[in-house]
Amino acid sequence: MDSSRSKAIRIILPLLLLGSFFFCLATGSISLRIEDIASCLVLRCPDSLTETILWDIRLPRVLMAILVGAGLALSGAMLQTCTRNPLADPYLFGIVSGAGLGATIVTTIMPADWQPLLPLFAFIGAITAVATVIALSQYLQRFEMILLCGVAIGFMFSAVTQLMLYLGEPFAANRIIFWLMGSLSNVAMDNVYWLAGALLITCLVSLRFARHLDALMLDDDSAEALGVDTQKLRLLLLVLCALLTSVIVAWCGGIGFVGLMIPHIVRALWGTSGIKLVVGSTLMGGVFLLWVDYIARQALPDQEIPLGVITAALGSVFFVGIMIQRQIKSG
Amino acid sequence: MIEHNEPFILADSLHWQPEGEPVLERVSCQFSKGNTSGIVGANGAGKSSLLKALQGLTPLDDGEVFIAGNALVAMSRTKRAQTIAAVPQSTALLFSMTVYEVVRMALIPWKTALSADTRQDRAWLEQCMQQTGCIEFSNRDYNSLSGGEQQRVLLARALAQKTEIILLDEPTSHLDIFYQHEVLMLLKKLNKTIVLSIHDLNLAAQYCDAIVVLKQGKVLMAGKPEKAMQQSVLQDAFGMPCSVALNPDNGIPTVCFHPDFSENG
Repeated sequence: MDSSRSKAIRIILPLLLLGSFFFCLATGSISLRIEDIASCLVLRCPDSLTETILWDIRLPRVLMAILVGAGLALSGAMLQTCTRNPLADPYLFGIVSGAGLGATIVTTIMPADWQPLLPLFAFIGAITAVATVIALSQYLQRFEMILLCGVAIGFMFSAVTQLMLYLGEPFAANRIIFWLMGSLSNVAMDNVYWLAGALLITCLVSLRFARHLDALMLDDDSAEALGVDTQKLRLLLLVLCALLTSVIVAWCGGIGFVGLMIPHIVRALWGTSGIKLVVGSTLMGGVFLLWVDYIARQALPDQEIPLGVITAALGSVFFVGIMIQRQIKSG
Repeated sequence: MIEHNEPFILADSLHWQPEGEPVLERVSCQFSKGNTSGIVGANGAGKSSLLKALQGLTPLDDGEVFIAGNALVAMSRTKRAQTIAAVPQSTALLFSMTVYEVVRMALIPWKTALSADTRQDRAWLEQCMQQTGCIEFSNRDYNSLSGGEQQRVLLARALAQKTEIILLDEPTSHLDIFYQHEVLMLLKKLNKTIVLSIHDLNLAAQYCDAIVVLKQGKVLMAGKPEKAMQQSVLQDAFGMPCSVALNPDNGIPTVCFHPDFSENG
């Protein structure tokens, strides 16, 4: 990549995130003025309504959108590199199916006062699924099998979920389906702190191994010859990404395609090497989901569109676009 | 055994038998410091496996590799990568990277976390690319290069790794005659300990200080080219009649095979 474009991206991407952040804080069913937001964040809010809207509603949601987008994109980038598969997506490891099963258990079996524990159950389900997938791939001693293991385990968990929903009360199925479509409407500031912690750790570890990530794009022998412990590095990154994605799914449901799409865009615009991929995916993922959530809030009057619907729609168009572009390129 | 200079790399009775026939059968050989040594043999003789074993990448059943008297297994990964660089026959990248980015990977064993490339690092990488003739396409996508160009990039990376030892798996296989000689001449001039597997016996005789002849995972003969490349040894190794003549000017053996594929032959 030429250095002038690289420099431009280095400046534009953080500015874009910052600009989008303030724009999304300001807009909604009630508009807030930028100077009111600034004084609220730094000093004191001009009135209690602004304070409630900003601190209780918009800020958690906007921050969560950034963190979720950043986390999914970073996980996608790491998993594509680790599995040597350009189609890897954090949701392909059985995570959503596992979370779905956890959510279904709490919705259909547990008493009504357990319902607030849905994220916890979803998290446990997601971790169980991904731990099974990792254990299976370790047993098979072939890391590239991990995506297939993920698909298989995913189907297994989905089968149990579907049976439970089929036998359960009709409204439970509705609730689970809506939950799986993904939303940021129920997030609170507590969730933000947890997710920020998980994202920070994953981000720092990825940066620590940024140079090693480049070597993972080679065959294993070449990477080992450069001093990289390929098996350990892969396992470490996979476990971190699985934890991060499980936290995201537990609170926000299924938001697919972000982890698949954003890293490809970063590679095309900025470059493939470690630091660019880690920083670029994190920032661009944040910007992307911020705008997806904006569309989700604003597109329909008095109603929100599930995030997963928008990301899936954009993702599939993106995919078809890539395929057409490749076809044109190869003549 | 290779008898000149002190041994720098010592392979002691390497044995590897993943299943069925052993791939390496009690292979013992040594390579002297500063020498260019060639490993020759038919396909499946164990050349690549021996090279991988010298890097510590083959899970040996028995035997040990020593570098300057130190057991290879006792060296840390980073130390190993600071001592031995490897040039594979070819390598495919998962996503496109520029030639410069591929050569830059050579800094991995030398750089700590998050330390940025310095001006000296960049100058060093450029110098290595210059030496192997890939500086003019340093901004091109590695995956779009021809096999020969890719091999020069991998060689530049090995040079940039600043190791005392470079192991190369058939470094001349994708190159035209001019570049074959250029690469081997360059390797000789580096004054490093070079071990390479090679199919072209005449190139091996011309550029290698020592030759190891392998057959079915065993060492048939090792020594200076004129000792290792005897007619009987090569006929046994390759299963084909051959004649070996010594060049009267420099005493280098020249090999010519005489295949006889006729039915009555």
